[in-house]
Amino acid sequence: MKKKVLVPTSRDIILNLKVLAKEKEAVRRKLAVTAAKLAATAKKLAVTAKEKEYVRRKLEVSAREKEVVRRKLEVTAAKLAATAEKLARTAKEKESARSKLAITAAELALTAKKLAVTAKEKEAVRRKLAVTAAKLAVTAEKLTVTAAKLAATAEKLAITAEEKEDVRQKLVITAAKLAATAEEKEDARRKLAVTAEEKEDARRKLAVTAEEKEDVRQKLVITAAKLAATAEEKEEVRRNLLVTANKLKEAYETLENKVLERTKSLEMARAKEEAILLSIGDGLLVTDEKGDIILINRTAEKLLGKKSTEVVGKGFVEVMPLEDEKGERVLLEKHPVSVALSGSTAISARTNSYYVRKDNTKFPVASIATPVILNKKVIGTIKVFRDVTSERDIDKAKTEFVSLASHQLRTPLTSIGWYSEMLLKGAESFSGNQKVYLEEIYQGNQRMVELVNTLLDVSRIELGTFMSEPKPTDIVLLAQAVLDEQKQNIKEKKFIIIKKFIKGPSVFLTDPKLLHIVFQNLITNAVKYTPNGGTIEFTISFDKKKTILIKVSDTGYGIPKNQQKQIFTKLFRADNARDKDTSGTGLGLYIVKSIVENTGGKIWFNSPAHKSSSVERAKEDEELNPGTTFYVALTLDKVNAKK
Amino acid sequence: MNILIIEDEKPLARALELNLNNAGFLTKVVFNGSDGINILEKETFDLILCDLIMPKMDGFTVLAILKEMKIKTPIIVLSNLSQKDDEKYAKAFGAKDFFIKSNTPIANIVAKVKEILK
Repeated sequence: MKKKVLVPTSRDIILNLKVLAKEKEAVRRKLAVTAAKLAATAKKLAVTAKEKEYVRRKLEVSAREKEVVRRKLEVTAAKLAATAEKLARTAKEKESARSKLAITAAELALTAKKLAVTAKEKEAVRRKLAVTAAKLAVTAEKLTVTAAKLAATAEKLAITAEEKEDVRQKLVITAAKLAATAEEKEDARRKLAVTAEEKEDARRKLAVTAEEKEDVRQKLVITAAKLAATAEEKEEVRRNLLVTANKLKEAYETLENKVLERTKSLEMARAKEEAILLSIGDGLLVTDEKGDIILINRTAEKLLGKKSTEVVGKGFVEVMPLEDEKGERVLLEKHPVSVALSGSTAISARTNSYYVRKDNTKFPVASIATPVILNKKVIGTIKVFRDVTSERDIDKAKTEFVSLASHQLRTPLTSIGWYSEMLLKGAESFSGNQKVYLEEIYQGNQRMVELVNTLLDVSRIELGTFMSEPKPTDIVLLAQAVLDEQKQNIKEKKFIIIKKFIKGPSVFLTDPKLLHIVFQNLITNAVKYTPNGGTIEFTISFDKKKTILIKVSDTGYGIPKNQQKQIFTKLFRADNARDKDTSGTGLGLYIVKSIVENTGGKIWFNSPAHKSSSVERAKEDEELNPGTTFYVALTLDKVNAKK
Repeated sequence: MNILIIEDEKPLARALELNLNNAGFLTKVVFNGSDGINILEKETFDLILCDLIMPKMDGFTVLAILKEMKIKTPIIVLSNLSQKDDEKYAKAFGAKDFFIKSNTPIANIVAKVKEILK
């Protein structure tokens, strides 16, 4: 068609062309979409065709499989039928087993009851076997429990059998149904498979249970046999026990008699010992290791005025307060019992002590406390003590006698001494001989005076009244005074005197009278028993800090070796001394030793002389003149010059 | 100088008297303690020599009475008792000195008297 003649403008044309182009584009796009849709559909169609082919094939396979399954199910059904039959048979067998087990259980229960009864009887027969019987009873109870368990198991088994019967019936039905539906068959098959497994389990369990039952049964049989044997053994044991019991009874009676006899004799011995202890005439007191009193005898009771019952268990200090002669309490550590307790073998004695009685009166006591030692250990003390009042009285009387006797002896000696002294003073009027005679009288009197003094010293030593009274004493002055007393003799015998005295202050605390006796005796001995022209050495030196060593040595006749041991013995005189000087008393060295030792000192001597004192060798000895050295060691406190 | 000698042993009293007179002293002698006290109640002396063991009254009693009488005359005890206690007691009762007669030459006694009365 032709367009209007109207000539369109270019702009119009361009616009139309643009619209046309847009329309074309839209159409093109729609066509493209449709083409794509078509292509997709074509593809889907192709896929569906493939799927259809696949489904078809699958269906073919499925049909084949179903056929296979169906055949299998048929086979399974046949098998199930067979299994069901077998199960039916097994159930019957189990039933019979169950009934047998029930019977066995019943028998076991009966046996258990019988055993229990037997156990009780046996228990009644022998008490000593009660433990075993109790055990048996326990075993029996266990058996009863086992039997009950078996019965329960049997019941369970019966139930299981019923269940099995149900299952079987169900299986039969299932088997019938299997032919109809493959799915039902499948279900049934699965159920059956499960059931079969359960059955297998049950079967195995049953087999195990049956074995266990067999075990239990055999054990029971063995136990029953053992019980029978044990019963016999028990009976035998019982008889043996009876015999043994009789023997024991006899032995016990014999023993009892022996013990009684022994106890009796021991009691007698003890009573005897106690009687001996208690009857000792001296006071006897026994303490334990702490010093507590264990025993005191009758004499001790009497002496202390205290009953044994009052003092046993109490401390010794409380029971026997001890005082010294000044009336002061003796310190605990100085009490003889304390000393004995602390000592090992030492025996401690004490003089000048007083015991205080219950009523506060006192009596002088002499006592010895001895440690009681067992296995090297002090386990107590024994103290023996006695009242020495009468001894003291006798001593006092003796002292008074000696004192008075010496007084009476001295009075005439004083007359002789003073008057001969007076005569000697006016000696010019006497002839030569008269003067000598007078001198003899005077010297004789002096010796007599000395003898009385010495005898008095000896009696004091022996009575223990030779008390030391220390006071500040210049020992060098004292030594010099003693030498001066001998001046005349020293001059006459032409002795050389060597003095070696300590230098400086020489004042010490000592009894001057006693020390004088010591010095005097040592010096006069040296003077008497040294030949003319000899040497006497007198030394006083410090040995240690407080110890004074006094040494008197001479070049005299010495002391015969075989008599050296006796030199300090009272009234002893060495043979050579007797020869040389008849005036000695044999008391000097005895007194010296007593004084030195009473004041805590020591005396010894050294005389290398003489193998014999025979007359033949006397001259030889005299020529030898080995001399003697006496040593005295005294511990003295130094006194300061200011004091 | 006047000295009283109280001594029951006549020879000893005589010896003392002789020696003291020779030394220039006046003496009076009594033979027991009791007489000694009697004379001391009437007379005074410069020194007393006194024994201990005597009849009627012993020396210790004499010393005790003199102490009570507050007589200050020096006393020398001359005795043949030789116990330490004897000397101690005598000195405690106021004795100035104590001599054991048998052990003491008479010259020593005279010397002591002279020393005290110097």
